[in-house]
Formats: sequence, C-alpha cells, structure tokens
Amino acid sequence: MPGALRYRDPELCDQLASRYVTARMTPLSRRRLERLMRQEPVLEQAVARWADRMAPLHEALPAETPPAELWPRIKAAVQTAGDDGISPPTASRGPLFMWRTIAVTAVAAALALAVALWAHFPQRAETVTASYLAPLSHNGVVELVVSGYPGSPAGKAQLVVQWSRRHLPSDEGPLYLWAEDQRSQTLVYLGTFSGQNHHWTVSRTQWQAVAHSSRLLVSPDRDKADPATAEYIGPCLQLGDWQEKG
Amino acid sequence: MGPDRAAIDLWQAEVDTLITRIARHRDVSALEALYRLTSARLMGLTLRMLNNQADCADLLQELYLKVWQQAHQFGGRGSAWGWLCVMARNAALDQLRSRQHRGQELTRDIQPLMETLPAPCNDAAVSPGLERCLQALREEQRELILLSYIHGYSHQELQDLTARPLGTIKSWVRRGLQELKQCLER
Repeated sequence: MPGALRYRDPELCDQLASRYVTARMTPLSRRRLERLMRQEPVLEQAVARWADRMAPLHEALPAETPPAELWPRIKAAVQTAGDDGISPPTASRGPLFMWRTIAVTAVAAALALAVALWAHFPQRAETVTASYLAPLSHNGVVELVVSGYPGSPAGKAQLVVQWSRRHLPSDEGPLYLWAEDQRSQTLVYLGTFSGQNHHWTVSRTQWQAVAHSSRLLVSPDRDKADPATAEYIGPCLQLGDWQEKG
Repeated sequence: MGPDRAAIDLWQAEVDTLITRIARHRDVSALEALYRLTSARLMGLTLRMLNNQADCADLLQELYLKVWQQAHQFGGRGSAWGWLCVMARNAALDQLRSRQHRGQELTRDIQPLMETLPAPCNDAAVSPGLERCLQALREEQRELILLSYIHGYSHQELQDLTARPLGTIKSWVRRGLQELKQCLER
C-alpha cells in the first residue's frame, strides 16, 4: 500500500497505536505518529482505543498527592501564558483560511527564526560564510538548521547540521537529508546525520541539488522521502552571493 | 458492572466534560476542577516512572499548561483520561531519555503492582477487564508489559533486567499486547 494510504489500514494502525501507547517507539517515531494522527482518523481512533484499554491500570494503581504549591504555580503559568499558542477551530472561516493562515505564519516564523538562529549559532572559524541556510521545523518549531558552505577549492562544499538547544539527546538513529528540486519536486539525497551536530562534504551534484532546491527535508528512511511525512522540513534561504560551484 | 466501575465511569465523564469546557470556554475554574480530579493519579503515574517528586511536579505543571493550550486538540475519539495518560507518559519518557541515568535501580518485582490491582475472577461481567486479561497472560508477557507500561522501561532496560535477547523481548511484548486486546474484546 503506497505512502500515507498505509495509515488507513486498520491492522497497521492498530499495531502502530499499541506501540505508541505502550511507548515502544523512539521520540522521532512518536512525533511522526502524532503528526499522522492529525491527518488519519483511523490511526487517531486506534490510538484512542489503545489508550482507553490501558488507562484502567492507572486508575487502579495508587495515587500520590502532588505538592500543595503546584496548583498555584500552574494557575500563575496559565495566566501568564494567556491564550498564547491556542488556535481553536473557527466555524465562520473555512479550513482553507486556517491553512493559509498557518502557512503564512509558519513561513514568517521560519524566516524570522532562521535569521535569528543564523545570527546566534556559532559560525565556523574560517572566514567562509554560509551561502545557504535552511531552518527545518517539526510542527512549526524550528529544531535544526542546515547551512551550506561553498567549496574552496571546488568540490569541497560542506553541509553543516546544527540542532537547537532544546533538542533532546538523540536515541533516534540515523536521519537522512534530502533536497527538493524547486521545479520538478524530485528529491536528491544529500547525506546522513544523527541527533548530534554534524558536517560533511557533498559532491558537486549534491551541491547543485542544494542550489536548485526549494526546500530541504529530513526522513528516517535511507531509501525514500516524502515531504508529506518528513520529520523536519523547511525552506531554503539564499544568503549573500550565491555560488553554485561546489 | 460493579459500583466501582460505575464510579470510575462517572469520574471519566466528568474529566471529558471539563476538557470540553476548557477547550470551548477557556475556563480556568474548569482547569482547576480537572486538576483536583486527576492530578493525584497523574502524579502517581509519573512517579512510578521518574521516581522523583520535584521532577514529577514540574512535569505536571507543563502538562496542565499543555492541556490549557491544547484542549481543543482532544478529538473525543476516546476518553479524555486516556488522552491525559498518554500525554503524561510521553512527557515522562522524554524526561527519562534526557537523563543520563534513570536515577533508580531497575526493579523486576511486579508483585506489588499486581497486588494493588483488584483481584480478578473468571466472571467477565463483574471482574475488571484489564486486570482479568493481564492475569490470563503468560507470566513473562505480563511482567514485560507491566514493567514497560507502568515504569516506562525501554526494550534495552528490559533486556538488561531479564538477560533475554532483544528480539525475544520485543516478540513477547507484541504478542502479549495482541492477546490482551483479544481478551478485552471477547
């Protein structure tokens, strides 16, 4: 069964849901499933069923009274937070408006974050500056930045992956970086990395792919990638003088 | 259905109602009522995984703030209590993984857990389903499922604890959960 259609298969959904609810998933897989749940009602239903199957255990086991000062802390945090981050569905405006709003907000936030991150991330010791910057996000939150440094001499172009400070120490296994061509939407594999900061040299072909890409994305699979199910995805930003030579 | 189950059903219905009130009306008093209803159980849940009061209190603070901000994402496909349990467990697991070490000895003793659960009997009409079906599992399967679900042990930790091959552990847990599901659906 191809692509996202797999997640409409009740049997597969049930297996994934049992693994999710009983926490037999890596953080990366868990986040991917949470995103898929929002798109696939069958999967969301399967997770709800497993959650309800297992929840009685927590009803039966002993409760523990939390510290007395906890509720005042929560109340203060709620009042400070106000309605930040809340986007309840609105009946008067259609889903198209909502998605447009989300898309515009996400792009604006990504650009602002990219500039801020680029300014604050430690730069390489060399005087070479990045030609290319891609803030890659998950659920609208930028989690890592990929910078592209032109090669000198030719053929030594480098990609640098820097994770945000909030990123948890990874036990997620290898991740795979891809460039999406801005015209054909074909994907070109750029290399692999893990939960740590990392840099590597790319071939001339790969650098050209970066130069012609509209966005970069990260998949958990070496053999395939799909923007719809990418772990992290973000636009390419061209910085300063663009050089396509690698 | 015994009176305890009926009381739990009423309690769960109240939790559902409060989540809906939070989502629709931004009602802090509903959040406070939800906190009064659920915080002790969620504290127990997270404490069994993290074994640290201060960490659990911090985690609950984040959790209720998340509920305040994301109550509208509760789709109503299952119970709100199940939704809260999943969120609390995931947050605790994230915290466990960000620690260098668990901060407590791994325990293989599930007897205290089993003793706390209501005694099952063979009559499905009166015996709580999950406890009855857990008792019906093979001992190894029951042990692995409880240790991973209640204490949040990873497969690697279960391997360290039981000295069984990783593949065997994964297989036992997977089969055990399938048998649990089949039993609960009977």
